Amino acid sequence: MPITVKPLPRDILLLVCRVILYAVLVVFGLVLLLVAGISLYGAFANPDLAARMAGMNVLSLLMVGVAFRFVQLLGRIIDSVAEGDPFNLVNSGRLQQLAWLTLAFQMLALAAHARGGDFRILHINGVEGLFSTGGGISFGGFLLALVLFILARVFRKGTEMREELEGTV
Amino acid sequence: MVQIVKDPLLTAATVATVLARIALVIGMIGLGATLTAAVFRPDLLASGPLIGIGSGKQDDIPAAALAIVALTIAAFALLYDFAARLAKIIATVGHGDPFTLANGARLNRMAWLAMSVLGINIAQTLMSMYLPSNGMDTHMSLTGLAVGLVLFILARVFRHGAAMREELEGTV
Repeated sequence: MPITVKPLPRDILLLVCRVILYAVLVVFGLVLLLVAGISLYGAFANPDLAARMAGMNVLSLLMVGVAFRFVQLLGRIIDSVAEGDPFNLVNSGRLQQLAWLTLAFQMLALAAHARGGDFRILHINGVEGLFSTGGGISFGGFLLALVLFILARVFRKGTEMREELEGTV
Repeated sequence: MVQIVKDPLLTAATVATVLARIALVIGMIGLGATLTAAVFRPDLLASGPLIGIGSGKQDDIPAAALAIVALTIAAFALLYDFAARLAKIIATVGHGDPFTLANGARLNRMAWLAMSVLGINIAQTLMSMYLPSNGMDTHMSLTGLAVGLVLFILARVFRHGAAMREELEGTV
């Protein structure tokens, strides 16, 4: 007898998370555009600065790419809930990839920081650097990578155990 | 049959959560002692500063700096809870089945903890802007938001997945 899983009703929280994820991505893209615009403008005014910004732009582009892949994978995990059982090796692999992407993002952020320092987008009454995008590595990023690595392993081990159990029944 | 699962990464992760918790407790004790000294015995901090709070003179340790230290202690307490939940999730693998509603609830709590720490971080960053010379450079980063979001999503995935499994097992 084939087992049919009734489809889940749309989960609002998962939907909201998706919207937030894409909003973050849009903000990322806008920042990139802003940086590109500034560097293009700077290329005429200050060629030396433009050269520095060029490297920065490449790094930013890579960071946006990594972030995009991250959001894409997370979206697929969300979709897997609607497709049936989310506890499988595919999702475990996705989680592990998310962990590596987080680490890659941290490394890129570090490189961006070493290259350009803080992005001083706004100067308001001496409050500057607050809106820095290239703030170097952060504790939160490593925490995220660690948690993702652990959860990926939890998924894999859990799935393996389930399969073993089902095999014995 | 429940079998004990030995996985090097999970064992290392368990050790890491224990070490992190020990470090957080040491940090809380240290910061707590510093805070107490700064409030009640500022003269102790006058010569050879234990930790760089304020601008050097014991009289003008700004209230904002003290509040930031107090908030850091609070954040450490939240992170301690975070590490404890993570350790419990890892432990469920050893017990047999990690795909449970309880683990979903734990992930949900971890997400809220991450969000709270981010909130504290933002508050600290805003407060440190008012300090004349801040030796404590607090960086606000949005990775905390990413941690929270990912955990919220995974918590929901766990909840739905576990609920589906239970339903299936009920029908078989």
